[in-house]
Amino acid sequence: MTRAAKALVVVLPAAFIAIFFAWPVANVISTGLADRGWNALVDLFGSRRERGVIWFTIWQAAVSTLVTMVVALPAASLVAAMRERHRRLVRALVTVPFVLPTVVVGGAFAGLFQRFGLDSGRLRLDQTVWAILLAHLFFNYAVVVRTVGSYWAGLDSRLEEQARILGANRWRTFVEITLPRLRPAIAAAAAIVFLFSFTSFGVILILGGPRRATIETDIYRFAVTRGDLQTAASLAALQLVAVLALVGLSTALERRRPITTRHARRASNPIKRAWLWGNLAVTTLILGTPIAVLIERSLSVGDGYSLRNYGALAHRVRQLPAPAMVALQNSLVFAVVATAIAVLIGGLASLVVVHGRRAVGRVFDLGLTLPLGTSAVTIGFGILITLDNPPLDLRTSWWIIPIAHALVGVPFVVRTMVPVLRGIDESIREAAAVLGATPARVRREVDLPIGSRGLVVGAGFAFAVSIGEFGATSFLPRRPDTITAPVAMFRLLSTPGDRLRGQAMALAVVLMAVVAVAVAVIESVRGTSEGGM
Amino acid sequence: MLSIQGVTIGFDGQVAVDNVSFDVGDGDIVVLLGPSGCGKSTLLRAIAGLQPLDSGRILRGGVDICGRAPHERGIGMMFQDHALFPHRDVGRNVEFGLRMKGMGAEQRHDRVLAMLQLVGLAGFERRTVGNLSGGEAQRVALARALAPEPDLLLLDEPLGSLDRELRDRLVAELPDVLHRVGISAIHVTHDHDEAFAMADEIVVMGEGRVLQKGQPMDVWRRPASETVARFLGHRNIIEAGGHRAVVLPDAATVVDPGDGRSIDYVVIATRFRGGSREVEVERVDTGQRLVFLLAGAPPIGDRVALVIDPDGISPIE
Ligand SMILES: Nc1ncnc2c1ncn2[C@@H]1O[C@H](COP(=O)(O)OP(=O)(O)OP(=O)(O)O)[C@@H](O)[C@H]1O
Ligand SMILES: [Mg+2]
Repeated sequence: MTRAAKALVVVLPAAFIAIFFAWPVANVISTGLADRGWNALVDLFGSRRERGVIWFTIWQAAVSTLVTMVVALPAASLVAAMRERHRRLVRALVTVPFVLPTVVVGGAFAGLFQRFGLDSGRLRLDQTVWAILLAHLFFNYAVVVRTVGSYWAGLDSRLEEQARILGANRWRTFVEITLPRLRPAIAAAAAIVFLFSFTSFGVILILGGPRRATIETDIYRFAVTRGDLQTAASLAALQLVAVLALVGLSTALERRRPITTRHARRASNPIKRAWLWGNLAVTTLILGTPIAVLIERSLSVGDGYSLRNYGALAHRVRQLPAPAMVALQNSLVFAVVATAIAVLIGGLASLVVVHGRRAVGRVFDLGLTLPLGTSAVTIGFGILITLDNPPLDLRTSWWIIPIAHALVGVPFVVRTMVPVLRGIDESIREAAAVLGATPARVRREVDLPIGSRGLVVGAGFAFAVSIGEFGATSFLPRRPDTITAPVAMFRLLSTPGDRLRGQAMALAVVLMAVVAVAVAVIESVRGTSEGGM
Repeated sequence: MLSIQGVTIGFDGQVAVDNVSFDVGDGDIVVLLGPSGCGKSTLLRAIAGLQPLDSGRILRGGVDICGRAPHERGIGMMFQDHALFPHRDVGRNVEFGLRMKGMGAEQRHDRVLAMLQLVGLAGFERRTVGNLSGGEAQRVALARALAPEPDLLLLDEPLGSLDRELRDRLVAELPDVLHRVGISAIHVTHDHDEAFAMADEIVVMGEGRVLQKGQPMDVWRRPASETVARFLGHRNIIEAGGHRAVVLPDAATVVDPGDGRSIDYVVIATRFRGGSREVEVERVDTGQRLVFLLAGAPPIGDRVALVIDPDGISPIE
């Protein structure tokens, strides 16, 4: 590689993150702290309402995490013990909810409550914290099953066999041999679930109702509804500090992962039947019911069923600047562009993380994970108040949407690429060199083919994330040519009346189908035993 | 061909390879023998250019090659842990070095088949690497290293996890293949049978240093130290006149009890070893125990009169 090319590999991702993430976010913080410095944060705690919001944000995230871990761990164990073919299938199925647009998840649960009469009366779940916890469980189930399950599957099962031979029963073996080795994966998964629940937006907005506010929804409320940028910025700054601490903690935990997957060999340990079916039943109930009801609701018109809601997507309603179908098209175009950007930036950045100088790699690793944890709302808000001066007046530009989406997609690309690249055993590169491959050739023959699989997986996630992105987009321009499907769906959902609701459900089903295709691509390309997402 | 001069390599202050020197002649197979952890792999990696030297030189045709990158050295290497490319099937693993040389597709195909045939894996071309057994993976690695026919081949325990039969076959065939093409090789092993069967020259290492080098027979018959003797599998290490010496296992002959030079022994154990019978005997007067390869295989408990050839006794330090 020439020196110019080498420099570009570092500069391009660095510039992208600096301009579209670091600068806007820094601007949010400095706006938040401009008048009163850190006292602005202290002031937040002075307000009784905000104290409540902060407390609620934390405890709902903690409970969501706990519930998700407890409910999903058995499924992770199942996935780990499955044969590869089945593992892929299960992993693909649980991933659909994870990449579903949050508004779709919100919509699905709203539909579920409506269907079973839980939206009013004594057993009301809608607009309660239970609704939020359920939706977070639904949404994050995949995080646990995927990260812990894949890691688990990669563990060398000869250790367990050895323990059994030495006289430990199943449970002792699990507690003394398996669990300690799983700890890094469990910690990483828990950190991610907590982070997602902490900064959850669409779900809380739709299911929590106006009285259940979190920091995230309050940022939106102050910035957009009330026009109080100062308070919004203080809240965003507070959230960012918390997120930074969390991300730092989770990457530190991840770095301590032992490298145990190299000589992993799994024994074909038959799974107990009751365990298998029990687990599948729970998983199907948790993940399948909302989706099934969503589909049912989308087809239900009056007392019967028809495709009328789908047909209605082609027509413009008063609440939207364009027909829902157009919003869907916009979303697809944005997703393609955002994915391309995310793959380029994320791919280059992963190379830097893995092969660059140590210190630079670390900075990149952290810097590129931050957008994953930073609330989308903060990003959208930051871009809104920062990139509004020439030459970078992007606020009303079409491009700002795919760029914002790419920003959220880049961490996924990096997160999938880095473990794949790291997983390439150095001795394989050495073997190629000894067989006569130049360093450039080694990159092309070893790193590229192995890494490209990670890249496709990352691209799949970036695509799905862009299709469903709601938080950041909700700040950005809403013209007929920029309205996205999730934004349209939210508008339809928040308008009272059954007719628009049905249409929203239909739109959700279409979005879900698109996302399912992305997941199918991810799973068919994804290798057998890599850890990570 | 290759001259290793005073090579020293350390890891965090620990010396792994300590002032090692030896030469590899054109077309020779040098066998590097030594206990686990004595620095054999590290030395091979240094020769291949994967490990920088702390001091010393490595010359090829009189030219120092230490500054050259691995791919510029034209030295092949088979890794101890195989290092197969996980994303390529067996055939495309073996083919890799040929492609790097720019060989045409048809020729490559033929060569891959021939190499797989050689290592007993005919028909394995399209198998994925992940599911191979240990021995199969090892043979793929061997085929991959052999395929490009480098001038010098470094083999790090290439036959370690093969069954006896396959190992014996390759021990017999490998030198032929190497000699036919004129490949020089450094072959690392723990196994002395394998070493003596293949070596043109033997280098015995211990704790990072060269303990002894020379022709296989010389090294076997005249071990330089007790460590070397024990490592080569000598068991008859005796004290005689304040000196220590090795008695070779083929030094004794059974004679009639009346023979004046003979000493009386009692047979206390017999064992089959590599097709011949090893007999452990105890000297009647001193109780000294020795192990010999004896014709006729006397039964346990018998008295035998043995004459020991003085040529078969070799003093050590
Ligand atoms: N990368 C490294 N970092 C630190 N120490 C190392 C490294 N590689 C080797 N060593 C140490 O150097 C010494 C020699 O190792 P080496 O692998 O060369 O031994 P070996 O003779 O090949 O052993 P074996 O027969 O078991 O393969 C060992 O003590 C080993 O622990
Ligand atoms: Mg070794």
